[in-house]
Amino acid sequence: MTRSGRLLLGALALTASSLLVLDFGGSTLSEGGAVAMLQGLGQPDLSLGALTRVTELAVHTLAVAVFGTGLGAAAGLVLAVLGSTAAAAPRRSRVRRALAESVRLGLDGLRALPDFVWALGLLLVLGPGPITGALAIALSVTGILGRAFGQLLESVPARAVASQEGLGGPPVAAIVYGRLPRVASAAWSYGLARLECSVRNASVIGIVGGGGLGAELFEELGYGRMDRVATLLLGLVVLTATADTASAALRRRISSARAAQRRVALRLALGAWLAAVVWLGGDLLALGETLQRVDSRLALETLRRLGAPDLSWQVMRELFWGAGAPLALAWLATAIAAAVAVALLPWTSTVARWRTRGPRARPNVWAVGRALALRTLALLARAVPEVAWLLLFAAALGMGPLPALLALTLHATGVLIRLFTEAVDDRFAARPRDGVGPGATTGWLVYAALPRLRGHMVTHAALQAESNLRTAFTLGILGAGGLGEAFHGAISYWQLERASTLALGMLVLFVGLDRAGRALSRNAPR
Amino acid sequence: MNPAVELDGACVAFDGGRGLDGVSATLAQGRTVALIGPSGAGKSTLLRLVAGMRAPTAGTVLTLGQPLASLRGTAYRTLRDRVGMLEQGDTLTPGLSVLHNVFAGRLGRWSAARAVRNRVLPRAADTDDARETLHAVELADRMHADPETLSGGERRRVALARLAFQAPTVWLADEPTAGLDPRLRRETADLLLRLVRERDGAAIVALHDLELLSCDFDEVWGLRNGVLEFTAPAQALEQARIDALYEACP
Repeated sequence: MTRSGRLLLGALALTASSLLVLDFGGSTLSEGGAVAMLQGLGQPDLSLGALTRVTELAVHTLAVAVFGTGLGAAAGLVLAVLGSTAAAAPRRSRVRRALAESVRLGLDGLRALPDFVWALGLLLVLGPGPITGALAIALSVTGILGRAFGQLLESVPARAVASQEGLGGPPVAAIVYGRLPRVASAAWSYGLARLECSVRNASVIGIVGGGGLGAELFEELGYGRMDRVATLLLGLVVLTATADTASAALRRRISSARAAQRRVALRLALGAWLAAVVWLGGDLLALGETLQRVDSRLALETLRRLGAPDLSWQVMRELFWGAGAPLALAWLATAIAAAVAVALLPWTSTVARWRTRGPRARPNVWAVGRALALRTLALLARAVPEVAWLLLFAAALGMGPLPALLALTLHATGVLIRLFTEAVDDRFAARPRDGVGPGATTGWLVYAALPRLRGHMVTHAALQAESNLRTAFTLGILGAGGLGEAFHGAISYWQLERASTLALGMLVLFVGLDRAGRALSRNAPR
Repeated sequence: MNPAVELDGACVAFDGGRGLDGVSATLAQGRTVALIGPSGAGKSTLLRLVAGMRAPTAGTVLTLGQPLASLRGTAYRTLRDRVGMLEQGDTLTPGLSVLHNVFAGRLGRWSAARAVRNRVLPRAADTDDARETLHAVELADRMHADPETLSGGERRRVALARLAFQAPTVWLADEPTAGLDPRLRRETADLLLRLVRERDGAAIVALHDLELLSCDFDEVWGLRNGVLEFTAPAQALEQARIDALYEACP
């Protein structure tokens, strides 16, 4: 059997087992409910009071995201530099390698659990509030960006930095003068992309007590006030779309820019972070009091119990079966989203269409309009966070795996349409003579574009699958079943040993998949 | 006083076959050498041996009296700081200003804290020091420029300033003038030798361009197929020996 045949068979087997694991029986479309919901959503509350409230909540959400991301990026940078000292040292040293490996493991741990879970954990100590949400985001961002920065630093070829690293000085100094400046613009780009995600996550982290748009959305959905829900969703879309556009503009500036322009961006970012600190000033000051009020005996007891996971047969079985649901959800959502995004490429990519019409062809207004419309739909799909989609679908279908799958798939499709389309357009717009050929758009895509971009697109899809796995866990916490639901139950009933086992299980699952994926991609033929 | 460099039967074996074969030579402190030979003769390998970036597979290599490649920890760090190496090609860090590129020369001496501090808020004393060095290569006015905005010759001079800022005892340069036009090549080589002399250093400069032999070198070493064919005072070198060095291999 050929390689692609084996891959296809594997994909089918995964899909079949995923469908077996997930129990879609619980969901039924209640027609009345769905109609009422759609009617409500069609008539958002646009009164001045509602709009002011949404704006205030949006700014609050933005402040939480900026504050948390800044904190996490700084911590991630420090850890990444420490973790790369082994690569930058002129001699192999066992101590440095051990340090690097433990930093990497720590970052994996931070990265494995979604910020939603960190928020639940912090809630136990700090109580609800924006700082809880910001710190949860910071923890998860530290893990994600720390790992990304570390990979960037290690990707610099040793030859290029030999004149800094050959001197025998402290490796940290060599990194700051050699590797770091070389990857600075890529690191900025990663950081800003993470900020976009943080804005989305901050808007839903409120559901577990972080305040902002999410808390209100959850509340209004509970009361069934669909007009207010529509207003809040609108605010959410405007907020995330604005954040996406602003950060994309900034990213372009940084990647094309010289040192002077980067300095401007740095000042802008620092200014935004300080503005967020000022906005959250009252809550930050209150943090000191909160920490003083924390019962240290109780906190220690909590930590002790979290540190002693329950390894009984019963909990292990729950862990084993619970892990199936997020895995199945992540696989199905990623596979469907990737397939849809590839299938839509002939209509979403303007370059693909124009490229096959010959070198003198002019962009066709109708085709450009259609591409813009599809991309706007994709923007909407990804601007609403998965958690918000889940709540909406659950309102119509009842809570369960089905609304979770729909929510994950819809969001992931929005993300992948953008990434795949940009991959094609960026690659081929700038190189007029590369891969030009006659024939239909689809043929050109299949024979000229996609083979050149396969590695790129697989990476995008794999990253999305990783994010989907984390999110599937989060959706579980809200009632979609699986490991997340079990974890939430354990925390709610204060069964901390059981909660610890389940979180550790998630961690092992995540790290294991990550290492396996890395090993596979190293061995795959290029 | 130990010689700057002492090679005794130094060999390097590569899988491909090219390497160094029993190279023996001594360079006294304060002397300058032009290292010549056809491409693939082993010039870069010899420099990397002296810099301790690679250990000999047989024989000994002593830099300032010590086997640099087998030292560890503080001993390595202290000695390595006294050996300056200018690698082939462009070795400036993009995205770092000229000043910070020059600062990188002292990374072997500075503590991590001082290096990081100088990256963020340069100390006045260190900045003045760097300005003086940049003055010697006539680039003091471009101290805060982005290296991307400099010409090829200017970039090479910044790299020399970084080496001068390190102020090593042994200077090693691997084709420091490659990629420059003939007039600039001459100027750059002269500048390098002037910097070495002003700081009482010893230098081995691998040269591709034989025109530069007329610069003020003390000795010439001829390398061919990994074998050191001759070491001779620069004044007394006959053209015939150079011709023999570059003759087609049998």
